[in-house]
Amino acid sequence: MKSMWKIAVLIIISLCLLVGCVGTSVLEKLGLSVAVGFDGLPNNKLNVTSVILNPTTESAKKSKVISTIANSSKGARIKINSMISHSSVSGQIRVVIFDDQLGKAGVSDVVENLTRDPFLGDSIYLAMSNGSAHELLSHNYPQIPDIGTHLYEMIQQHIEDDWVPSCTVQDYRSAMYSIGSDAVLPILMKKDDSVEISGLVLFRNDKAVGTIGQSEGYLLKLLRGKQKEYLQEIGIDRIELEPHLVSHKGGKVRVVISNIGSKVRIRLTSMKPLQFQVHVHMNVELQEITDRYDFSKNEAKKLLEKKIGEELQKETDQLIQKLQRMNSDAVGFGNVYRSSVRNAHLTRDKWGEKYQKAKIQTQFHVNLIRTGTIE
Amino acid sequence: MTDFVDTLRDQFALRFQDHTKIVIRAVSSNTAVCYLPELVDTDMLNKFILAPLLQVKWIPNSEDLMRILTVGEVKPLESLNEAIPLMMKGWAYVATTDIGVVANVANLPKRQIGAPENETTILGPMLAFSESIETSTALLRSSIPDPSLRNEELHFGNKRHTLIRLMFMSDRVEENCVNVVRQRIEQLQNNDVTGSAELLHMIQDNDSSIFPQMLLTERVDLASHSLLEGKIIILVDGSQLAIIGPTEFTDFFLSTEDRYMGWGIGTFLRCLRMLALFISVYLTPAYVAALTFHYEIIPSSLLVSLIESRSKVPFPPLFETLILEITMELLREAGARLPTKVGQTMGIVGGIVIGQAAVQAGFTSNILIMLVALAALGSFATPNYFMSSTLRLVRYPMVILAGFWGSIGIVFMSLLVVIHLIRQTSFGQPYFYAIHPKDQSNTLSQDMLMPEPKGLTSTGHSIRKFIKSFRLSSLWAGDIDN
Amino acid sequence: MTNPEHTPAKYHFKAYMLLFLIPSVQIGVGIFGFQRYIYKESGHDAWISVILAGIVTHIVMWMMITTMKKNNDDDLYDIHCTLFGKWIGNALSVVIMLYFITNMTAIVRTYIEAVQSWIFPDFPTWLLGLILVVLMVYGSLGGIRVVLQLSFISFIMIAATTILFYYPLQYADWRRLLPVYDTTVQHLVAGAMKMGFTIAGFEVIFFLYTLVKDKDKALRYAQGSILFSNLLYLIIMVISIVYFSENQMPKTIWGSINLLKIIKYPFLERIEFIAIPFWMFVVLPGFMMLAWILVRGTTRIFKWNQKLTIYGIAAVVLIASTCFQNRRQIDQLNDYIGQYSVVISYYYPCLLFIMTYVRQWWKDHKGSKES
Repeated sequence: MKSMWKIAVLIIISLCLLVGCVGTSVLEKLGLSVAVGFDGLPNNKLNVTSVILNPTTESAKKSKVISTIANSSKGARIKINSMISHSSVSGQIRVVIFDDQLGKAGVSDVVENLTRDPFLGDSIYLAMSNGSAHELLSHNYPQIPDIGTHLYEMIQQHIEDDWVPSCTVQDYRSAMYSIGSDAVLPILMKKDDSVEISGLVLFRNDKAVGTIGQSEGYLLKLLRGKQKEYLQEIGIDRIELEPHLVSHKGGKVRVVISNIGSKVRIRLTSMKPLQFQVHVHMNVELQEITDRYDFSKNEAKKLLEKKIGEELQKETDQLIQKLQRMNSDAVGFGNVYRSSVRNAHLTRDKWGEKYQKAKIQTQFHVNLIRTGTIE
Repeated sequence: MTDFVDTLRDQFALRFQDHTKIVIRAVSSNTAVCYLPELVDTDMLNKFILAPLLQVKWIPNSEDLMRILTVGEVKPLESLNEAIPLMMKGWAYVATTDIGVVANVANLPKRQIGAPENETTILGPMLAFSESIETSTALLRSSIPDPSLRNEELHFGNKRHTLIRLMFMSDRVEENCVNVVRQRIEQLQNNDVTGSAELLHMIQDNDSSIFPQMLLTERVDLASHSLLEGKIIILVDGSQLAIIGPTEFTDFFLSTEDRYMGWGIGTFLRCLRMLALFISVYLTPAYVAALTFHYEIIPSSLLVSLIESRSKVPFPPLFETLILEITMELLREAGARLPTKVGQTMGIVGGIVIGQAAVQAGFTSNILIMLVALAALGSFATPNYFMSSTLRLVRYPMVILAGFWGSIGIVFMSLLVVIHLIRQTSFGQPYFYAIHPKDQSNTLSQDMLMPEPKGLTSTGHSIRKFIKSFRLSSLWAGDIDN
Repeated sequence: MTNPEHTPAKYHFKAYMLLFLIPSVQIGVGIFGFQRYIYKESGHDAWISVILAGIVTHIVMWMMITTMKKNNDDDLYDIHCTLFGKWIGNALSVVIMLYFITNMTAIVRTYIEAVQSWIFPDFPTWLLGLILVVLMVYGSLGGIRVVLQLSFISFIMIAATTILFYYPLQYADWRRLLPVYDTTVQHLVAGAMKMGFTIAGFEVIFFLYTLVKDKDKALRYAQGSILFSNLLYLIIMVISIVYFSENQMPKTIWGSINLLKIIKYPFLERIEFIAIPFWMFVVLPGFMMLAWILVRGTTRIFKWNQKLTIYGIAAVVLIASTCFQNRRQIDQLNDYIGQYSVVISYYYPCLLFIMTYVRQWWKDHKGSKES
């Protein structure tokens, strides 16, 4: 009798459990968006473009692009849902792109709502498009089966071992919510039938204020302390290196170095006037030199190290001045200030004023560890 | 003379209702030898019973009779009734008008000591228990020639007079355990048992659990190792499998071979088997959960190929998996029932043909085929057949719950299984340990393979002790001392 | 006043088991989002608050064990009777039991909230509650042994999860910890008070201590367990401070889950979808332990049938947890419990400690007068 009772309870429990079914989202029934593009339109409207994964064994194209105009990103999803056979979900979004219109107007609303949704990861890459994001995503690239995944892999590769600083949602939000630093995102540009990363866009708060090119991007990543092995070409005036040059040609001597390891130290040296000192210690390896240079002497190496450092310093100073002009603290001097001054009670506006007036000196200590496999 | 034989014959005819052929050899006018010819050793009978009996004239009492019979085992008897069960086992009954004696001249049909067939190992002794309990006992005795190896005989069963032997090392065994086993067997007096596998289910702690609570082995070395660990071996006459108990969950994943391999490879193999356990239980449920609910966790590199292979499949992942899992079980079951050579061919043909055709017909995705095969492989890596069957059985509710509740279902089922395991006992001893309490491991001492490392500092020793105090140490094939 | 009839020696355990048992109650759903409460009080010096709270906890733990030693190794239910007499003592025990049952409800509901807001927005509350409660009943019927073994598994889970937190460190900015001590003592203490709620739960030692076999080692291992959970909270706090920027942290409700969100492996992404369900392994032992303590109490005071009491507790917790409809109510419940848990885990042991000494002094005093 007792076991009967037990079995009855078990059956009731298991029935209960099975009745409480949860809404499923079966993989192949989903329209997985991989990349989303936002174009700002007048009247706060958005043109949302979604790259939806649509792999079929027959065709080479693995995705399709759908776009719609809506007031909000979720509103766009509702509209997109009505356009495709599967239900559109956002859990696999890997790249989010804004156009420059939206960038100038401020992107924090869009990013905040991306984070609000638990199904969107924090490792999504943000990027700005040079021109319309819709055009960038919806163009029919003959070589690229799926533009969303392609962009994701391209940005990832550039972050991991190239000059692009990390541009995930976490990086952006962390900078946006920090008084002493500003976000940097890559700029994507459509070039005929391919896409390239043409430079970096600098933000002040959540608004785009200016752009820098690739070599400046390299230095910026270096100053942020995240630069790994990557090549950089430096031009040095011929006269500077004259004593050790073997051949005699015209123009600048081009030196290509790769950064093996670097250490950046930013110090607040004086409060009034505000002064920062940036020390960069670099271990570099010589990859290429356009002239024949006599490496056999120790002084020759020393001189080359010094000249590389000076050249880098010059470029960095220009970059920092540019940043100061744009009032974008992409390097994070504000964080240095905040972490060295007690009871700073910094606000964004206060720091903005201070930052533009600050004097920032840089110094490079280059250590040429080897000249490749030959001298 | 014939009168005496006739009365004996009448008496036997009364007791053996059928026409069992009993030979009654009259030696003299009042003495006869009775036996069942198919069960006795005729040589022994001639030399040691008939020959001496023919030389004497008069036998005054049973003591004298027993002295005359030059056979090892002789017993005086009160009545003919007592003789019959023994005669059925091959003893010869020597009767005079007023006394009776039985002598063991049995030559029961028995196998040669063979190699273990089902539990094969690459290294290790090739000795298996045999159906004869005497042989099995002898094998154990010879592997542990120690007086503390005790041997308790219990008779069991209503009709069958089955002989059961409990063997244990009296200085290592937990006394409670022996009492529990003895009690359980005695309580079963009126049941009939054909072999140890059946007995096992009658004396286990929890009938409703699907997890095996005792080991069943044909390997002598496993049994003797277990004896040394303080376990009890139950031998059943007529059954070539010995029962080992009490067991712990991890015992089912250990093979005797691990000890022969040395601690390095042995530990690696044990870890591999643990991995196989997790693969066999979690792989297909994880597939179902990920495809039904958690598409977010799939990395981008896998995504496209997964969607492509799934796009033609008409069923939801849950049914797809269940269909394929059951197909796999069918293949295994059919292969096991067929003769060995045909079975192998069928396994290969069935696996490849059905698998290939199923994918091409858009019936299942090829990724799932691989996962199911891996899961099956994982379950076959478990050395114990009962445990591997149980693991396969656990997978089904896991898959179903994963299909209903995704990862929550998997975790729910895992917790249910873990709690169930913790609550189990084997011969009254706890069955599952996540962490082994130090003071309980002292009775289950295991033999040392690796000598105590020399030159360890006291800190080193205490760290080593600390590590070993966890039950993770059962993965460690090296020394497990106290 | 020892009670030999309470538990057979079979259920006693070695002192080092405390190492796993106590953290299993302390570490549970609270770890998902404790950071911002402390950060709101003491800013980027929140880690100092965590250490402060940890030190106080060590002291309170010492007081608790000393109190019990002075009271013949009894558990809290008996200490109540000894110190306050039968009626008031039992009333106090009932209050403690009510606190525990509310705590259980909060655990269940907060876990459900985490699952619903991160993985299954449409998972029915009652169903998830039922899942937890079914496991709790099944486990509790197996006694303290189940709790013990499960708590070890949860210990391993916690340790394994901690390893995952190295990944967010790639995004860390260590300057965010500087300058050290950029706030006032008041703020630090306020932060530590908030932390007190998170690491509360170690009061279960009041009930576990009687079952420890080698009581002389109990203090050592109990302190060790506190150290473990303190370190864990400290590590997570520090990682959160360097990971989130100063204005980002207060906006983050589930800090620890957000930390997991960034993790990405070639074979697996979005670890939080796996970590949150598997956190059930960590939540359950604590949950079961509270049920076990409750049942001990009811058998002691009311002599109720244990099995039926467990069913009763399960039903109460299930029904109570389905009553909470939204995030605001859950926060309210947690705030409420937060206040009480600080009282019960910190102030109350101090009171008991003092009372025990007063009582002893009184006894000695009286004794010396009479003689």
